[in-house]
Amino acid sequence: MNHADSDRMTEDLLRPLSTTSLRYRVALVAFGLVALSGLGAWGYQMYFGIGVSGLNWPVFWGFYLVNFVFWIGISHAGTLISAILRLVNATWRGPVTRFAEAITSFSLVIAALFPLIHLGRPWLAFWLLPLPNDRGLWPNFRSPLVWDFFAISTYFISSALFIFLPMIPDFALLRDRSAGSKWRVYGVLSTGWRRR
Amino acid sequence: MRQDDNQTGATPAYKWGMAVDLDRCTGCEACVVACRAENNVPTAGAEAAARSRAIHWIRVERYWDGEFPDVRVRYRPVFCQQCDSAPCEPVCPTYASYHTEEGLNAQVYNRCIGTRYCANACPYNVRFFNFDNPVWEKPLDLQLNPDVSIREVGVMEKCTFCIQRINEAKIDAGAMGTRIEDGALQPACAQSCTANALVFGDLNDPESAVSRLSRSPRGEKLLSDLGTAPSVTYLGRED
Repeated sequence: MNHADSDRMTEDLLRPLSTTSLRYRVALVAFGLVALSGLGAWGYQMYFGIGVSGLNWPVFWGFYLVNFVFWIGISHAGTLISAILRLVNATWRGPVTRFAEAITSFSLVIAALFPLIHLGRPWLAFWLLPLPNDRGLWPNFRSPLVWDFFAISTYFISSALFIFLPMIPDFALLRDRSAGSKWRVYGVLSTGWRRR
Repeated sequence: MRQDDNQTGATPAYKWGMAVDLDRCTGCEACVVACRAENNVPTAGAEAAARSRAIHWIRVERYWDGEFPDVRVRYRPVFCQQCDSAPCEPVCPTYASYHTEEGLNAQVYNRCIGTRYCANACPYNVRFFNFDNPVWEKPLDLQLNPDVSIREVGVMEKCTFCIQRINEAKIDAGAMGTRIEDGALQPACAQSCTANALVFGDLNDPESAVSRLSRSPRGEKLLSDLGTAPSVTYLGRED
């Protein structure tokens, strides 16, 4: 592969970052409407109560927490694929691990939504954070739900680092090919990486 | 848990308990009605009740023995057992489900964020969640008890042993410098029980009626093999 070919491949790869096609915009609006309707349904549930979800006495947990576990499982799959390819030292792993780590991070964000949707009074969800309230009362550290919070945040931080670190050279490439505000953003993300 | 809430030192002044004499219970459900009126329990309406959304802090379970026409029915009033080793308490992330010095499983409504973990942990199914906005059919909205707070949608609630009455009696006894007399304080269910099947009182007083009944050889705890150490003793039927 000569230098011109390599340059053209890079151009092809980076094109979606600078131009947006009509199909992309149509898809964005369509999926955005789906997300908005979900937000509306959540508001409806907050106003009328968890009862609208069909959950019932005496089994108080249902598909929200099932969904939570499902998306955590998807996220674990991403980590597993990426980790196994690293362990067996597969040289072709680069693009696959990038996909796998993206799955890990994004499905974890989706999973973290569901415990919030599950709550009876979700506007008070910050009471699960390890902060004392105005009476000096901390969350109950014996409760597995508080440890859910710690588990999700630890997993998210580590998987975000896991996807971010290998992307630093790519950010540097983007920084070198962009200008203006994009240059500043990619400059921060590339943490001063220099190509040798 | 704050130890300094307890003014008397190591032993708490009171340990509230109940004895239920199944030989006396007639299944009239006066306790159910009285509890609903005393504690501002919302009426769910027929449709929600059919979906088992009705909230009833005390229920009378029916058990049928034998085949028709030779049938017998047994009744068992079931309400929060105020366990000393309560499964509902350690799971609550916000201490909404909380053990008081007097052995009560308090439910602090304002702390509840509605994870519903406590109700899943409770083996007696006596915790109730406000699945819908609470409503009272007219004219029941005119008889709400001003001593009891209304629970918001998304909040767990349960039997409190009528803690508003306990606190009132404690304030009165404290003003007089005495202990609450045995029998002077009753939750709504025990007060309305015509057969005197529900006996409430202080288990720390060995001579109280509830202590004497709890020591009865007929006594048993509900689901005692779970090790929840309930404060409620059921006196079995003598057949």
